[in-house]
Amino acid sequence: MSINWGLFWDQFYGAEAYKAVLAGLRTTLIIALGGLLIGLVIGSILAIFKLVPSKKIVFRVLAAVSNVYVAVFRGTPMVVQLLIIHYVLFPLAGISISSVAEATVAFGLNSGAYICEIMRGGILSVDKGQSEAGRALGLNYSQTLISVVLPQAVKNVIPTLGNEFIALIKETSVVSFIAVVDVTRAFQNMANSTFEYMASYIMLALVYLVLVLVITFIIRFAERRMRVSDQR
Amino acid sequence: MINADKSNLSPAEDIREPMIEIKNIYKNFGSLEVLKGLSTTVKKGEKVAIIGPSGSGKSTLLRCMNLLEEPTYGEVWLDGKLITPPDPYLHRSVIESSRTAKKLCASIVGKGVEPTQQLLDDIVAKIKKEDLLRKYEGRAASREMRLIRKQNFININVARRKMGMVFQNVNLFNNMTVMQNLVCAPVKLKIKTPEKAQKDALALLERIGLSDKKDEYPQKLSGGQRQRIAIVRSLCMDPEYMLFDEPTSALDPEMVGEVLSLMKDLADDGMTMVIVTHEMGFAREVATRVIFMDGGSIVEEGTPDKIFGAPENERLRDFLSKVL
Ligand SMILES: Nc1ncnc2c1ncn2[C@@H]1O[C@H](COP(=O)(O)OP(=O)(O)O)[C@@H](O)[C@H]1O
Ligand SMILES: [Mg+2]
Repeated sequence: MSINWGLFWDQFYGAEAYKAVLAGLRTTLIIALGGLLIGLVIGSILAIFKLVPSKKIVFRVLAAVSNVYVAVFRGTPMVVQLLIIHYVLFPLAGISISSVAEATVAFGLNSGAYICEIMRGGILSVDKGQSEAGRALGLNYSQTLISVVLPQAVKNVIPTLGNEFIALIKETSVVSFIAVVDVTRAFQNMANSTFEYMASYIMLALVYLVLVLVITFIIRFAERRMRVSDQR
Repeated sequence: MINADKSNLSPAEDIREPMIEIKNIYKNFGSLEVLKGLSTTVKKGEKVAIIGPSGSGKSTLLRCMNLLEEPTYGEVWLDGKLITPPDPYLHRSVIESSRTAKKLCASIVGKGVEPTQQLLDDIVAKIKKEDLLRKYEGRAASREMRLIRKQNFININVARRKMGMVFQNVNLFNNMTVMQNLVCAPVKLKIKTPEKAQKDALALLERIGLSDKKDEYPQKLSGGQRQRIAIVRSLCMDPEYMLFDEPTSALDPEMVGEVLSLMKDLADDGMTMVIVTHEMGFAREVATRVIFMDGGSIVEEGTPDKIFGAPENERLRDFLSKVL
């Protein structure tokens, strides 16, 4: 057996399959980026629930909810979550949105569980004196959290969030389970129509690799820029 | 505790006199007793220096004044308003209406008999001395507590607006420029319009000669500059009191002077100040009263001349011989 690159190229360029690949790449990025943003919001809220010092019963319940949420989403496979959201949750709730939007929500919910732990660490890494100074000026707990602690927490966890984004990009390759055409599915379609599986999948791996390398580079760059502005 | 110059005031005037009142506060961290029943009053215009060996509870006392630490027992009053939950032991009406008091009473004179004033006094004293109150003392006592709370309690976030605090490790907001640090609280709390806040902040920065730093981040400034800006950040709230927790201890020696001289200016302007400090020279020059703490208690307090010139307590003398 040998790899027929010519056949692959004819399909990719000649039959304009690259358009489907680019569209798939866009879908992959939309789902990963949208998932990251939703996850950031959910994760921050869950982390705050866990950290609120109040002993009021409401906050204890919220902290428990947050723990259960994290346990459930970390304790089940992503594909299963995706399938349940597509075939159970959304139909039961009577919501009908595009499969891409569904996938974005699914990845947002899932990464919320991971980002919760990341944000918790980030918030705890902000010096306690910062929030004490805010409180001493008369700002209340949430004002201090929003204007003083969270901005510093997010900054502290940007490298870790970058890793989460990379993980998300790779994980989104399962969205074809609910018939979303992402970059993986686009290459799969090419493979199926040309029977040139080897070339298609090698190229697919390369596309992911390049994507991840580029994003890693961007994160490193951002990190370095931030460190320069931090120098005393 | 009652000061001579207050005794000719009526109680109503007395309570309106702006001040910080610490009533019998205790603070435990787990099993560690850090404050052991402290009382003191800081009146308008006073400059109180708190001195004492490290670990004696100075910071904890200061932090109880604006509730960064919640006292385990006791009360803190600010301008006649209660900022801690009421402490039942400090209110005779609560003790008298408690189940424990009623039981004690019944066991002595029998059920339903009206106790004499003398007996009530004894019972209240006994309950206080032997720490007999329980968590729940019946509806009557709870009602008294609620009443006290309702009449006197003030939300801590409101109370703190009157009270600036300067920390040993400065704590300027790292995610904000100098100007943003200064206008953040007054604007967020809608005490000033953004324009007014900026104008006031700039005037204060000019006063300390740092207006050219307004767009810098704190990380770019020297320790002394940072601490002076932290003081100014508190001043932007137009506070009536300023609490200082060893504001110069973390600074390089050559920067101590600039911070102390700003604090001295504030004192000269009439600001009410409570200052935890190791700078004995400064305490002696600026303070109107010095409190010496050791082992979680106020061991001696008085004018600087008395504390530094004629210390009575053995531990205070020992402390002074080490630091002077
Ligand atoms: N948050 C805390 N948790 C546990 N122990 C504490 C805490 N804050 C202070 N302490 C302890 O309380 C004692 C008094 O501390 P502090 O008030 O800071 O003393 P000072 O300011 O006089 O040096 C010390 O033994 C310190 O270790
Ligand atoms: Mg201290």
